[in-house]
Amino acid sequence: MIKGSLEQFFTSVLAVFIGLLIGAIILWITGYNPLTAYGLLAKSSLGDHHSIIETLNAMTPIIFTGLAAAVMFKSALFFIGMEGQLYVGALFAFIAGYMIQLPPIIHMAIALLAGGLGGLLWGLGPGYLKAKFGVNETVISIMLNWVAIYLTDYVVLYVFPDPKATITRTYKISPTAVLPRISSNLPLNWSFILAVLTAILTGFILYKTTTGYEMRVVGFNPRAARVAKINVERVYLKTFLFSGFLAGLAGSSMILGVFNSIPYRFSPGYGWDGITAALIAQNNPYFVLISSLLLAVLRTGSFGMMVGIGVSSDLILVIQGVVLVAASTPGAYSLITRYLKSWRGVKT
Amino acid sequence: MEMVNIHKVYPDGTIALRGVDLEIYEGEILGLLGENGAGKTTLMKILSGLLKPTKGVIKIHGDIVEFKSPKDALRYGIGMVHQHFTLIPNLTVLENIVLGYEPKVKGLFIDMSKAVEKLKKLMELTGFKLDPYVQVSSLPVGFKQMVEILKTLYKDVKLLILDEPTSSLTPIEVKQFFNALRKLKEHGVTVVFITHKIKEVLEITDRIVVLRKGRVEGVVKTIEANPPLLAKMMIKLESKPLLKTKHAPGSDILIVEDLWVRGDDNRYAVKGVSFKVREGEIYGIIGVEGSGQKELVEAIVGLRPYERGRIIIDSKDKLLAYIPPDRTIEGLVLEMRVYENSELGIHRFFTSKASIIDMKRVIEHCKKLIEEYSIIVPDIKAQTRFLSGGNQQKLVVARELSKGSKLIIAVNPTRGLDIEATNSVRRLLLELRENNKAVLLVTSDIDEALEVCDRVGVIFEGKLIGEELAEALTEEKLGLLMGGVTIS
Repeated sequence: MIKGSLEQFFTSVLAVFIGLLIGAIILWITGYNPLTAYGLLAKSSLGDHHSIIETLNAMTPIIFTGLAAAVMFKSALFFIGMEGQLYVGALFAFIAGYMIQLPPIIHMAIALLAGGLGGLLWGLGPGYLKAKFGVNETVISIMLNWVAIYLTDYVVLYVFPDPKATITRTYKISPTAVLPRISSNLPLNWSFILAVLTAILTGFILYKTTTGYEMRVVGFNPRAARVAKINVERVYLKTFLFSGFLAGLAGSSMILGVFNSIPYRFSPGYGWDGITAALIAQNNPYFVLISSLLLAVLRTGSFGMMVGIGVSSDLILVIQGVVLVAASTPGAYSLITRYLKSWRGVKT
Repeated sequence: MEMVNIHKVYPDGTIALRGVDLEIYEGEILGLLGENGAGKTTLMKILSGLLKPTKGVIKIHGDIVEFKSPKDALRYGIGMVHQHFTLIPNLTVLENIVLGYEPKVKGLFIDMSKAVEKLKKLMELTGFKLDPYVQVSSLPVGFKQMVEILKTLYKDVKLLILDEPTSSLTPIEVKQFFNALRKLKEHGVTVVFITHKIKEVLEITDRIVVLRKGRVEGVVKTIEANPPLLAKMMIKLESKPLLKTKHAPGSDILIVEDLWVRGDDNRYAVKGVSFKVREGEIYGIIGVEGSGQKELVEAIVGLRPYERGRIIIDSKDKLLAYIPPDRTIEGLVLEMRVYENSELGIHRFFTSKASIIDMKRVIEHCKKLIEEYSIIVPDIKAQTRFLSGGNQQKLVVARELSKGSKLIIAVNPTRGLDIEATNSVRRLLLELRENNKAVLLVTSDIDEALEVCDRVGVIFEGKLIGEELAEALTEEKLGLLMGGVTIS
C-alpha cells in the first residue's frame, strides 16, 4: 500500500514547496529577504539540540490529533472536533493524575488511558447521532469544540486553580503520573515515542485488520459496503471511538508529559494542526509522522523568524497559512470529492 | 460535414461507440435509426460538443474541427434539441428562447423587441404559432417541444439535431411537426433526426443511417428502404445462440409471495409480486427500467425493507451471491486494490482470531479467481479502476460465485460489456444452471432474457404481468408485455 500513496505524498511535498515559494514572494514584497527568513525558520526549529527537542515536543500532540483526523477522513467522515477532544483528554488525564494515588508506572498508564477515554467519550455523542440518525458530524464537532474548551476553562479557573502559580493553571498532578524523560538530560518525554508507535499501530489497524478494511470500504464507497453486508453505522461509530481515543491521547500527552497541570488555554491549536497534518499526509498514518513534523517546524521556527529579522507575528501567520493551504490542497481535494461521493452514495 | 472513426468509451468503461463513420450532406434530413443503447444519442452529443470522443475526428468541409463545448459547435451552426426538456418552467416562452443569447443594449439591458422580431421570423419559417409571453409551465407538451426547437434555431443553427423529438407528440402534432421540418429544409437547414421509429424515419428523411451496438450497420436512401429491411438491420442477432441443454429444474430455492415494497419516494414500487426460482433454472425478470425491479431485488437481498409478503430462501449458507446492477457503485470499491476487492463481503473469512486479515490467503484467493475466470488485470495490487469494464464485471461475478451459494441473483450482468464479455458472462450463467444452482436474472435486455432464461416474468408498474416459458416467447410478444399490453 506504500508505493501508490507515495506518489500522492510527493504531490503534497511539491505543494509544500509551492507554498514556501508563495510565502517567499510575500516576504520579498514586504521587504524581507526570504532566504534569511527561511534560514532562521530552519535554524530555530532544527538548528540545534535545544530547538530540535522543542520541535519534537510540539510534534507529539500533532501526531495524535493527525492520526485522529486521518482515521476520521478515511471513513469519509468530516468530523473536526479534535481540538475539543484534546481538551477533554487533558481534563480526564489531569483528574486521573491528580485525584488518584497509584504506584508510578501504573498511574502513568491509567492517566494516559484516561485521557484517551475522555476523547473517546467526547466522540461518542456525535458518533451515535451520526450512526443512528445521520446527523451531520461537522456542525456538531465545531460546537462541541467550544463546549470542551469552556468546560476546561471552568475547571482551570474555578475547580482546581492553583493560587500559588504564576500563570493561570490547575494544581500539579501527582509525580507518579508524570511521564518521565527519555534520558535525564533530554527534555523530551516518552509520549513522543508513544506517538510514533501509535502511528505505526494505527497504520496496522487500517491496512491489516477487518475493522480497518471496513472503514476504508465505507469511506470510499458506502453503497458498496452496504451491499457487501458491512454494517455502515457500526463502522461509523467505531471510527468515532477510535479517532476520539487518539485525539484524547494528544491531551494526556501534553498534560502528563509537558505541563503536569492544565494551564489556561494550553493548546495553540494542535487539534486543528492535526486536521492539516492528515490532509497533507492524505490520511496515511505513516505519512502523518512526516506532515506533523512540518507543522511542528512551522510552529517553533516562526518564532525565530520573528525575533531574528523582526517579521511581524501577523505576517508569520500569513506565511504559515499560505504554506499549509498549499500543502493540504491535494488532500483536501480528494477528501472533498470522496465526501461528496459518499454523500451521494448515502442518498441513492 | 463528416465524422470519422468515432469511438466513445465512458469513464465507467461502457463502450458506446466503436468506430463510427458518418457523413451529413448540406440541406438533407438524415435519419439516425437504432435501438436503445445503439449509440445514436452519444454520437450526436459528440457532434454537438457536449461529449468528447475517445477517438476520431469531426470534419467540416474537409477541415478538422474540435469542439470543447456546445458553444464551439454552435459557432459552426450545430445545435441539438435533447430528448428531455431543458426549459425553465417559470419563465415565458420568449425568456426561455433568448436565455444565454440575449440581445444586449450596452451590455446591461436586454432588447426584447429585437428578440421578438427574430422569434416572429422563426415562427413564420417553421409554421409554429406560439404566444411568446406565455409561461412555459402552462404549455402542453407538444408546444414545449416547439419552444425547444425554436430555442435552438434562435442561435442561428444550420445543422439541427433532434433527439427522439416525436416521443411526446400526438399523431396530429407529429404531422404538423414534420411539415415544419420540411419548411426548414426548404430554407437550407440540415436536420439529423434521431429515432427508433421506423415509420417516421421513412416518412420524413432523405437518407437513413442505422446504428447497432455502437457501429454503423448500414446506410440507405429512404426511397430504397422498406420497414422489414430496416428492422432487420436494427435488431440483427449476430451471435449464434448459446447452447442451452435440456435440464429439469429441482426444488424451490427462492419463493417470493405477494411482496410489497416501497420505493425511495415512499410509494409502492413493487405491488404484490409472487414467483419462484427452482434449482437448475434461470428465472428472468424483464421490464422497462423503473418498473420496480430494482426495489424487488433490493428487498430480496436485504437492502430494502418490505411491507407485506414473504421471501423464503432455501439455503443453508447465509451468503448470497449478488451481482448488482452497477458494478462501480455497488459491486466494487474502485479506489481499492484488486485483491482487496476480491474479498469484499467475504473478508471475515480471511481473518484470524484477532481480526487481522491474512493477506497471503486473500492474494491466493484473488489469484485463483483471476485464473479461473480469465480476468485481465494489470497487477493484482493495482487499483480496481484501472481494469476494463468487462474485467471489473468478471471480478464481481467471480467473487460472488466464489461464495458458493445455492441462489445467485444477477441484475443486468452484461450491461455495457462488449460482445465477448457478454457471452462469457451468459455462458457462466448457463453453467450455473447446469450445476443445479438457482439463478434469478433481472434484465432489461430482450435478447438476454430469451437466450438465457428458462422462464421469464415481465414486470410492469410493480406487478408481474405474464410469466411464460422462454421458448414460448418472441421478441415481439415480450416487447408488448414490457409496454404493459397483456396478451389474452
